[in-house]
Amino acid sequence: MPDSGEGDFARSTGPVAPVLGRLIRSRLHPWLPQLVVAVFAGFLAYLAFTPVRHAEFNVAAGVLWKLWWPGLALLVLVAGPIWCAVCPGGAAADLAEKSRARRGARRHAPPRWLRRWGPAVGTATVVAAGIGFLAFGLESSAMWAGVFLLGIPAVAFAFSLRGSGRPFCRYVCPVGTMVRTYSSLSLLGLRPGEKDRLSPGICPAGEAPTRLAPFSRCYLCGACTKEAGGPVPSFALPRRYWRGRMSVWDARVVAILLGLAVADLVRMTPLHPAYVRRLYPILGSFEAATALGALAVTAVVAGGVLLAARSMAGRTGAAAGAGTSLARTLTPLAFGTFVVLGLQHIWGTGGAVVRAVLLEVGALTGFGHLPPSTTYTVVPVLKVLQFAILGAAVVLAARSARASAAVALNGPGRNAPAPGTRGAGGSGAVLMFAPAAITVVLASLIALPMSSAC
Amino acid sequence: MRRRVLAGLMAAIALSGFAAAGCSKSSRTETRREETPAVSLPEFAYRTKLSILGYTFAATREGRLMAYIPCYCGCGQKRELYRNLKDCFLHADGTWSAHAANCEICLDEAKDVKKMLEDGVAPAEIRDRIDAKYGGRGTPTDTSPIPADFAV
Repeated sequence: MPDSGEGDFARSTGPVAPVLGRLIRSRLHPWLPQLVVAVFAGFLAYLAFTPVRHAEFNVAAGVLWKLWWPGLALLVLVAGPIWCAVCPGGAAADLAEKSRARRGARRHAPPRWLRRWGPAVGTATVVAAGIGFLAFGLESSAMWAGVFLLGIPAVAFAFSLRGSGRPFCRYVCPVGTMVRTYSSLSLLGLRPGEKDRLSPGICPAGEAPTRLAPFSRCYLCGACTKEAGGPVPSFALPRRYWRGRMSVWDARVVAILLGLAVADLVRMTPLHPAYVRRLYPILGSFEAATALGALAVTAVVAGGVLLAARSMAGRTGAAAGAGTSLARTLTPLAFGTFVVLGLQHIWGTGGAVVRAVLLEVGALTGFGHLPPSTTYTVVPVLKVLQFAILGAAVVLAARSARASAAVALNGPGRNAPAPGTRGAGGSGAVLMFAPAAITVVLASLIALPMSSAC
Repeated sequence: MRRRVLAGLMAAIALSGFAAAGCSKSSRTETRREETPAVSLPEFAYRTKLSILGYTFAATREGRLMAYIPCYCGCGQKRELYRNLKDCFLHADGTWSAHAANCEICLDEAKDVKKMLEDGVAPAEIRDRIDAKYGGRGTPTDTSPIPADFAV
């Protein structure tokens, strides 16, 4: 079964899709944007390890975590894994592959252990990176920004020496794993081409071009779109939320990402210092207290999803199918929270980061700043925007739940419950109840004052 | 198979937690001894690690030196409220100020002052080094010089 089909796409492509399609098909893609991004990342890494000259904080950490990270949410919303095409890590991997090809080495698959345990490794890196980021407050650490900027390309390069098709990006990278997961919600998708007219093996990631879809290993290198001889995958507006195949590991990643998003949301509210104040005297460490809290929130959310999936499956034992249906329903809520947090960062600190960059490069002279007298504020316009995003996510989740409820356990076209099973009615109730409970939690957190400090 | 995978996932979560906690374990004993606040800090001080460190230091006897260190975040534009680095942490009436909790420069300066004191740097030298490092970032506070008889 193809992951996506013509029926998922609207006839009209909108104004952005053709432009993006031309860019992807261009002979300059992906190497030119990769070069530009890599040079900028290198400059940021240099600034990360250089003492601040004029700005109020280190520009590298500010640009990385307060502009790029929220911007990534918007990029994924527009065009799915487009960042992966231009990422410095991917550029380093492509460079390694080209150097291997120049030496006459043949393309070969990534190591067997990586192919076998890749999804588990990707999930583990998401957990480790997420908890580590929250616990150590990496958004204000210049050193860690530099390590991230240089480390990702170095590791991606090393992995590509062991196998073709960007093994690090496809299996290990936490950012790639998250982008892949949320790409199911991008406004633009890749409309399948005609498989027969494409040369086999054209895709470096080993995907069939007719199956390019969210949760595939596609990173929009554009190789298939340059293939001559007929219609090829092109960008188009999806007509409906993607309903294709999702693996059990994809579902687990969704549950964990949702847990991490809730933990990050808590960290932005006054609940976090109130919690740390109580635990700090016991643990004596800010990081340990925050890590413990983030782990607890993530475990409660992910564990709750797991229990809900088991409850849906009932006695049929089809927990995997129920879990993926539930995960597909929860994906808009997780991604919506990511976008809500991104807006908060950009609104609260985006201007300060741009100002710091201008100060640091000498384009602006300043007298310093007066920080806000209160850390946590309620900005009415921002709250309206954030609730609008949550509302859109809830609508998508509800539609997905309704579509999945009938087939979650009984399969398409067989809505009557099998004898001795709970049937679609029970699963449908859980499929509605779990996202509703999560929505109440998210709405309560978003309603609280949030951090506006840089 | 499913149970093994689940166990693996739980182990990964636990490992990352232990790693996060473990990275700070080496300094935990020291943290307990030196950084656990002796006074009750306000809730906003618990927002970041650096913030806890800064406010704790401001409340100590050694923290008195901050009254003779200029702040370069730009708060010097409000001369009536901010005369030195200590004013960013404590109001003149002795109540806590949330200003420093939201300001990386104030917190960085406090961290540097604390570190230099621990390294045995003389107060006058500390002020010179702070002036050299942070000068030019923002309008400095109009801070009085360190008294000749000042002792930490």
